[in-house]
Amino acid sequence: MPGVSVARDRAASAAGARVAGIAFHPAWKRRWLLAFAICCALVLMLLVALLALFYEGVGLWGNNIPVTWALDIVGYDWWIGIGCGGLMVSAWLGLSEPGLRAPLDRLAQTIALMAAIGAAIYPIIHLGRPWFFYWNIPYPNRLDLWPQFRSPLVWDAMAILGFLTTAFCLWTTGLLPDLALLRDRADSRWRQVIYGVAALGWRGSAGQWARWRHAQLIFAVCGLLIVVSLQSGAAVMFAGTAEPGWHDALLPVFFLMVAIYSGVAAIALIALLVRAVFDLRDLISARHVASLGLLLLTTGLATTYCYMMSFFATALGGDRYELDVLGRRGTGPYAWSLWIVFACALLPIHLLWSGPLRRSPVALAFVSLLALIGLWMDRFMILVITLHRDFLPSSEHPYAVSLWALATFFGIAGFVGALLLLALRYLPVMAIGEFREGRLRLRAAEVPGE
Amino acid sequence: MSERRAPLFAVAATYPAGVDLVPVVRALQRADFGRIDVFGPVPMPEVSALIGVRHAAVGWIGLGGALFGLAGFFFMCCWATLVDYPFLIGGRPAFSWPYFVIPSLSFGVMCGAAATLFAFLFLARLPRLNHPVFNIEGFERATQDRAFVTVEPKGDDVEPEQIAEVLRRTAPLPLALERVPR
Repeated sequence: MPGVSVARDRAASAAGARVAGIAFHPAWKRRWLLAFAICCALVLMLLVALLALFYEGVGLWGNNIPVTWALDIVGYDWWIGIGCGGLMVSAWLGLSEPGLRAPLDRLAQTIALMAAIGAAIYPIIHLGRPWFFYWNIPYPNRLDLWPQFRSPLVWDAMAILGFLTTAFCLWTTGLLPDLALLRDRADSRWRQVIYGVAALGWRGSAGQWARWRHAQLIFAVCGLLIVVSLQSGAAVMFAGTAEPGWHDALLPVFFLMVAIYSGVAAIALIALLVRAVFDLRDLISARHVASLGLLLLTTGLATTYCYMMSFFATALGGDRYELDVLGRRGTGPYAWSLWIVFACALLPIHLLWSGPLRRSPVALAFVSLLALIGLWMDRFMILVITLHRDFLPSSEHPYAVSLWALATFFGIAGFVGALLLLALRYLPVMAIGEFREGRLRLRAAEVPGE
Repeated sequence: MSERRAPLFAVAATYPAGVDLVPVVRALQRADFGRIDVFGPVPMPEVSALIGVRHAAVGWIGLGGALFGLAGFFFMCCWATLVDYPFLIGGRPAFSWPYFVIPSLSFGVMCGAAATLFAFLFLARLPRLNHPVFNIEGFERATQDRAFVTVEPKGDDVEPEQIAEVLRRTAPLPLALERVPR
């Protein structure tokens, strides 16, 4: 593999030791503990919010008739969007060379799984009686009742289950060789036992590697399928209602693009945070930062295109209700949500046309954070502006965000953050095997028989 | 030497990771001593092709699982709405097949991923914490900077010394040779 510098080769040779060092003896224990404590406090807040919710009902969130889908579905769509983007980016990275893939792939997969767990909480707690969540799933029962297969609710249940299964399989099997490395580098008996059991006794035989590779590839293909199915399914679910503003034929692509954009933004933000906090500047190199910048710019532009096209198509061919929704997005009582989308998600990415800004971690992290905020507002705009006023003036009703809904959102953010922190602290933060593969191939090519 | 008296699992040779082990595997295959396996910190596509690893089975089982899940869920939807509990709702036709496709696809992917996982674990013989290769001296470096070749003699007539002789004669030369007890 030409073009790999000596410095990078040396960095790669130390990668295993570095990643094991992060898991065993982090230099930033205090910062980690502080962040983990904040996340745990948010999880406590979530528990209180959930108790209040189960006691009071979903009206506590400010949901009303007609705004039955508010921050709960906004939160669900946002988290699952990040999850879908993570899985999609991981599948894309599978096509790239190991040197580019290794430091980002594990992060993308971890973010995908944890964000999907965060998303999966919402549809359950949004049910009036969450303890009956399994009624969504067909199971043998003596009442001879079935879920309504002609309703999109079943789609959601199956899509989430499929997504979680795929992301879990991809993530856990991907971890096996790296867990085995931690087992073999462990400096205490209990670490050896815990990582040894977690690695399932990975031996690194030629057969195991070949099947592992193949399985990883298949999981990536499953990931692509489930991402497209989940996001376009969600869009068709919107189109399945009578509500105005949700019937554009572009909507499935629109949802998919927004999801990938938010996933790329989340990966960029967390990769840059990890890079700064763990001091991984040699592993997540300037080249990775620049690649993330390009990916963010590309997905951001594609999202902008979807926005413009959906406005254009509505203006060109929408009926009066569709046009009314479009007008209210720009000027109505919730118009601020659209302008936040523009200000945070669609305009700042144009900063990334500039090479120096694209390669600057601080600028990239800032643009990613803005994009995540903007894309949250995108979901809010799509849901609330349509729902609060449909066809009849009599069914119009204002919606106000309640503190409980915000507490639930930030509580779930804390929960996802805690999971991420645990994974970053105790698991290998990057695929060491893949990093090493590039180096060994290079060495074998240069010095046969060394 | 109690290890010598323990039943023999294999003869193991240690190499630096990253060397081309294809000549070694070929030499051992020509001598036909028994089952050959190679261990190392990175995937070894050439070696695994040479020793005849049929990794595609993982994919076929995964595809089978996915198709089973897809068809199974679709027919379950049909059976529930057409046969077991026909129910007129919103004037929708009972056989609303486009509605059945999306959850069937999700369920198919889920079954495919699960089948792939189980196929991978079964074919890679995982989890197994007590494999005899862990008896090789320094095997913990197999995940770091060493590669190992093991030959399991196929009968009592194959002497470990014969295997060691072939390994000693073949380039690249091993860093160490060892009889591995079972």
